[in-house]
Amino acid sequence: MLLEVQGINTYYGLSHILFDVSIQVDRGEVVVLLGRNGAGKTTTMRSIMGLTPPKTGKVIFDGKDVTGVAPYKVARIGIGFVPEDRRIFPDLTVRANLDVGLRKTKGKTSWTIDRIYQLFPRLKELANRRGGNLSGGEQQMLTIARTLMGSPDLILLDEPSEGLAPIIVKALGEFIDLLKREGTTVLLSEQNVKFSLKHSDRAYIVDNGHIKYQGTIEELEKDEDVKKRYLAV
Amino acid sequence: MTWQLFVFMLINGLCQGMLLFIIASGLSLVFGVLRVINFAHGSLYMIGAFLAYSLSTILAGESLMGFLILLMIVPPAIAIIGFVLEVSLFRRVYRQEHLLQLLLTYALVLILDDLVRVIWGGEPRSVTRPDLLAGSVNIFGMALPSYNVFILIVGPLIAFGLWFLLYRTRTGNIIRAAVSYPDTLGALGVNVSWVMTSTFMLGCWLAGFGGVLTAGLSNIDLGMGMQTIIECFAVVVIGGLGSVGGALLGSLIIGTGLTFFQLPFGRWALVFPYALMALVLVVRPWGFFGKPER
Repeated sequence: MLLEVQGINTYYGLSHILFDVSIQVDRGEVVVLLGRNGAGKTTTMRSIMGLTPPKTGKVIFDGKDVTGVAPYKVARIGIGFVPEDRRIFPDLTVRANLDVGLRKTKGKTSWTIDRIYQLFPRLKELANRRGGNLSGGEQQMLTIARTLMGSPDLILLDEPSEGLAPIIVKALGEFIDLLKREGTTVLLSEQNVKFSLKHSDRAYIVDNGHIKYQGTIEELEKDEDVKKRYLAV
Repeated sequence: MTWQLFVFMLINGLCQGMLLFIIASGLSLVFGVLRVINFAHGSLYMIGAFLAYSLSTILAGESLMGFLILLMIVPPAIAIIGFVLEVSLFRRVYRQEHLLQLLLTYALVLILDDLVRVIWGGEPRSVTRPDLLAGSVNIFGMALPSYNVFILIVGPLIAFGLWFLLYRTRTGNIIRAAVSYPDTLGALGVNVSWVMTSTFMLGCWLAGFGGVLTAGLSNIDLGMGMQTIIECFAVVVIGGLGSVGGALLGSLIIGTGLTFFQLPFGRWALVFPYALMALVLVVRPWGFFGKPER
């Protein structure tokens, strides 16, 4: 297992958000965390990243216990986080945003700005534009590209399709397929069921801070009951 | 007013402004990244000035070399004091309410100022200018103090250096990113608490640098820290808290304004920075180059 989340309980102040959440992600997989708004998808990702450390339970990455480890160390170990609200540094140019994300990693194939530009030619055109002056789709591209610059082994994509035009969502899906082919492991969180099922290998359904279902996409596709109950399909 | 007098006053005003900029830019930079208004910034500046005085008596410098050594030793020494303060105290209050931060930095003002009183006493001191900077230079047929001209050269160099650091290096990108979203920056693998410590040290370095320059310009005494922090505060309110460009503009406006208004208004000119600050607060509370709080 590349990532193993073992029964974590996470709180925001006094409110208990995650209840014994366990997730496993194997190397090379694309796993999706499905659930409604406020179900606990973002909190799960923030817990893994160490931004909102869990009170109990463990997060094991690549055999190392990273529970409660500072986010910058978690990032250096090889987890990349793409936040839902994108968080593009508004005063920095597109190139500077990418530059800030750059991490030199030993041994592994690392991403360079040239490879990013090859993949996202639009970002090259916008290289000198301030991050604050990008459209939603461009910001989403940039936030993913910025995290990729750190050459993570596992990338956490928090609701990437949210608020994007259908054509950009399609491009995003193709991009996730490409990441998978390149051997990057992806943990995705989504509300967009159709999109998720198309691009993932396995799914977890999270509801009210509990994991309610886990299985392969094929299993989930057949399970009309679960789909009706949690995914409103 | 003759044009010679005008140029003379302009140069003096710009010199005052540049000095103020060097100190205020540190205050502004620290606020931008740490979100704490460090009232002890003025005290650190004062310690820089007194350290320069003590060192100059040891170095027995009237040589340019001696003065340059002061400029090389004192600012890093203040930066090291800053390191100790940041790691031991400031770090604990970043996520606390403003009142607590204010109490901490104000307590530091009292402690540091008393420390200066204990070590150096209450008498005004001064650093002898090096021979090369003690005289005057002739520009447009006017004799301008060469020390002021020196500050007028050093100030823009510091401003350029800061601009280069902030806008042309990866370190600068990281500092500016930390101003917007420190958490996101951390999740990208950057050790944000080290960014904060080093930014704080840079701010203190600037305070120390300003202190050395001031020690050569005029008498230094126990009141200088308090007077300067208030002026710096006016500068950053006018220019916009967190903006180095704003600090430059604010400093030059206040420096030249003070100099020019002194002629017709005498001591009343001292009201100028605060009147301007009040005006800016009414019309544009986030300052010329600042941004409204999110």
